[in-house]
Amino acid sequence: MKRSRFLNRRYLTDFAVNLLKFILLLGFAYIILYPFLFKILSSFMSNNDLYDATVELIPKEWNLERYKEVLFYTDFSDGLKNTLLYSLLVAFGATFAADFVGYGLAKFKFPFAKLTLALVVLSMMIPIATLSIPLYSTFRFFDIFGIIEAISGKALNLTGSPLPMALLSFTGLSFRSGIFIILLRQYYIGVPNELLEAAYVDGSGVINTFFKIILPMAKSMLVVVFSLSFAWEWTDTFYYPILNSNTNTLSNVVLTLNLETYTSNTQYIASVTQGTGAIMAILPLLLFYAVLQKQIIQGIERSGIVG
Amino acid sequence: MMKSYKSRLKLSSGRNNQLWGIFFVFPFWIGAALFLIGMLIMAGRFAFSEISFSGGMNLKFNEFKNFHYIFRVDPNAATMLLDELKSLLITLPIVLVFSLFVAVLLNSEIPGRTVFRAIFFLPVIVCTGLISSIDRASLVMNFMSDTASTDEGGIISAMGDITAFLQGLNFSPELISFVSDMANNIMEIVNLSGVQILFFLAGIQSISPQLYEAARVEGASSWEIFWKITLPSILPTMVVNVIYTLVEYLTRDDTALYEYVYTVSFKQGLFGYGSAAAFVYFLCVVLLMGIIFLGVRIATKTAERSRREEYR
Repeated sequence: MKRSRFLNRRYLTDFAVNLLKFILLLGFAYIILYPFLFKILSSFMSNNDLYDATVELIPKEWNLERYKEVLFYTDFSDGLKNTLLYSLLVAFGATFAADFVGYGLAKFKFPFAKLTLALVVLSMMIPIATLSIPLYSTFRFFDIFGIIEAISGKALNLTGSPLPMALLSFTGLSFRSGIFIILLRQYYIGVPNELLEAAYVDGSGVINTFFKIILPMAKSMLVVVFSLSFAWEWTDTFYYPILNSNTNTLSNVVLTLNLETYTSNTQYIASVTQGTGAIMAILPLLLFYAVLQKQIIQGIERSGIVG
Repeated sequence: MMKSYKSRLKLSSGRNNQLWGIFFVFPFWIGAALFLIGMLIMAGRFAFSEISFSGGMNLKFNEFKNFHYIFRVDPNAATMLLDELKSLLITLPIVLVFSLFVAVLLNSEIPGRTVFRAIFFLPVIVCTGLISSIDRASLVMNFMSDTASTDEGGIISAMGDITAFLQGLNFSPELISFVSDMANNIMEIVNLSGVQILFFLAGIQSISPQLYEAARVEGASSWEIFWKITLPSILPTMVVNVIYTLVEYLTRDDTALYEYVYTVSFKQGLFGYGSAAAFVYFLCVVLLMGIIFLGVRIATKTAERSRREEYR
């Protein structure tokens, strides 16, 4: 965080340069925020406003028609509940897996360690287009090396239940889990071995050391992993349509919310309603980010130095 | 006392160490054995099979028929694959340059730095799945129908002017389409850069200020300082960011290729064709990855060698 002093020496040119930088950053920030701004403001527009060419961003007649539509045509509160449960499940699973596997890879020598690391890297490099069909068939016809079929005569159908996501996340294979494992591995490699040895000397076992000394140290990284996996599961549009297409989750609800088919709405208005649904869906996530923003960003910056 | 000290240390080495290591990575081993390896094999097998779902899943080996279909029969698949690879190759360096640029901008005394950092990271939290899929859909829709009074982004309409301007200057059509593609994709690039910006920022801030001071005293310009000090110092961060960008790009679900695979297999039931397209893409990605890893290895080795020679 310490910045060099000579940057402040030539005040005037510095001021001009900084002004330029500020304007550039403002432009980029605008590009990021514009879609949100557009969605939020258009969600308050009436049908007339949406077709009025003089209405640019600021609605003339503020109304809540779009919000009423979303709430009327979808079971939003149920979706919120399901999404929260799924996101918590996956976030816990991914954090658990990343923490354990990352620690194992960083601090222990064991057979196939290199192969394990290679598989972790491979697991995050599989394009989701390649993953989608095997993912579906794995859980549509779930079997453990033919054992289940031998017992019951039929493979299990796990799609529609939360079990596939639980299995994937707790084994470190959920969305971008490989990144989390590598992130924590890098972090734990940076933890000095002397610390562990000192703990062992004082009579602390491996498990005890891990939970009492290592975990509290890695808290900032765990917050990062937990929040990212939580957020990514919240807005997930890959796993839900394949594994839980009938579950009432927010992203399923919003993606299938096409009011053009069963109201008199035109395609354009239907898409605005969908945007409104999306804004409603990510609102809890925005609050979550507002609260944890500082910890997440600092955690990632710290990991950037280690990595 | 001494004895127990030794026996304790032993606990952290040797056979016990191995067992504990296996204990900690065991969740992933289960996952790899049950799902990961199986799915990879499936991805390969499906590409060469005709798949039907009656009762269970039935696979029938049909040689290269699926590949024949996607490359010779379906007019969309091959172009889509090519487009996807092309856009991967173009997006990767642009995301890296853009995020480095923003990181350099953020690494100075500017009011509201923390706010800007939070804004640039926002897409990582919010835009991953839902928002980007919807935006993609509505963008396509806006292109198709002129009924919409407001155009999303505002950038697209401005792009028309720039394209006309470039055409007036007699630039080659390839260049024009490249520039306009880039400008259209600015939103996508900004959205893909959130984490990389933070990594670069951390990398830049970990460079010791004395290094800069020395360079200033020697009379180096800011431009020279950037190329001679900042860039070499953040080379490791660059490697991390290349890998992260690749992962991020490959796991996006708002791409045309994924849409194609999803529609062909899950909506039309032609799982074999979808698998074949996905498998070809996977092979290309693995090849590309191999080239990148090799390049990174060679680059770091030459950098190390030159550093060693300098010390001499």
